[in-house]
Amino acid sequence: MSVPFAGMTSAANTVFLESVTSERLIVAGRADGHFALARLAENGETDLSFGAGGTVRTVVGQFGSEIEEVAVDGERRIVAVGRVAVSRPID
Amino acid sequence: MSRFAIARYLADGQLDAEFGEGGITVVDWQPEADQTAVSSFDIQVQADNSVLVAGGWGRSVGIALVGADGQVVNRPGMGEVKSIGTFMPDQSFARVRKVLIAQRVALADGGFGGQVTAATDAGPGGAPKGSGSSRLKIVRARVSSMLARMRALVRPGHRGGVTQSATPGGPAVLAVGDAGENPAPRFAAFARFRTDGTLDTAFSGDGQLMRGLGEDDIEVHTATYRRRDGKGLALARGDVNGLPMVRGVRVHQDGSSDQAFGLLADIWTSTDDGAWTLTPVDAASAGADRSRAPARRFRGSAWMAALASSLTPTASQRCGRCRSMPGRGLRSRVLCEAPSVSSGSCRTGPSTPGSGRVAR
Repeated sequence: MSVPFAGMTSAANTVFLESVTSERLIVAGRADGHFALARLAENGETDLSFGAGGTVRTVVGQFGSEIEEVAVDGERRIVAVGRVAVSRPID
Repeated sequence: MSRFAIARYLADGQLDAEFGEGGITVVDWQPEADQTAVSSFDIQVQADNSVLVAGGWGRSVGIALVGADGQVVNRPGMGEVKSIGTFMPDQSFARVRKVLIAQRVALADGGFGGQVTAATDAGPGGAPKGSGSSRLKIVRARVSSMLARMRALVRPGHRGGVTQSATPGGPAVLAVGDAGENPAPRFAAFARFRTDGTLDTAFSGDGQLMRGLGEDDIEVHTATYRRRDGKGLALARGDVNGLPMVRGVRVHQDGSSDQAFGLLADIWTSTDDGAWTLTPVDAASAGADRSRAPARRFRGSAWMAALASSLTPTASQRCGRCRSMPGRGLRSRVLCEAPSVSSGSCRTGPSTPGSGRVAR
């Protein structure tokens, strides 16, 4: 099984089981230096009903941002937290 | 600058425009003088869909509450609800490796960092179970706490686990890492913080705890939290006589060592053929966790990925012959011992938890 995060470089930081009833997996991390999510169906295949072709990439801050943890709220919304890259001030 | 971002997505993967700015909220923690990147996060959705966020970087632990609308919650007269604690300030070396939101924190009377009612009956990732009201959940938490206290009375030595969850002052974040001197000796270090950033004295007397792991130069790399009973588990990895070794220490909610776990227990051992073998004590723990917590989160490096694969099997990992899954086996005490599930054959039957092998 492989997760097709969009982007040239990507990595998964966390895997989250969406719920015990559906057993869909949410995979989160980074793609091209930004937040990235993917959802897998119960059979392990990419869930095409999620985002664009099963994956989502969100530009947050600058290159180097990534999701570290994920939770699902009571309305099945996915809440993701991660670091945001910021540029250092030039002295 | 240490900075978090919280993004909320709808179930179809689209950013939720009702949260923050276009679905995203950014929280700044430190002035620009601090250039340390945040190294660890935890997140927990509250009953009202507000989000409790914790982060660790260097010696710092940051805590914030973000409302369901994506705005950092403001407390009248107190400003934004976010705080920063310091990890092991008395040690010459200290590093936060993992922050863990210790309990599901249900807000009572709008308080945060003040009077907080805590419960440990979190659902997926701390998300509320079912659709009951916040008040109902608080009542349930209090009942759960009372029952656990009663169990503690009738069972000498039983620490209650859940019983200790309703802690005055609302301790919420357990930071785990290593501390001591650089480069050695180093110890596994725990510190528990209230949501206002102060150390929680209900944990080990002063909110801090250090435990040796048998090797001076071993580094703590990760930690996990058993949400069911509130115990903290620090895992460390390192090389001992040239062999990779993982060691762990587990503590109760009050910071005392969990003797049932066994200090310095080697919980994973790398075998000659490259697989990781779980010892019975850890496998039993994993099974207990899964029996109550329907959703699991795993992260980290290769050996943690091995654990993840053992506990979150997908349909493709199901054994073709007995249809069991490795993770399910731990819970049911019937362990599929197939060396490779893809081979389509295995042996099933009553087995000691932990005798299975997890492919790396």
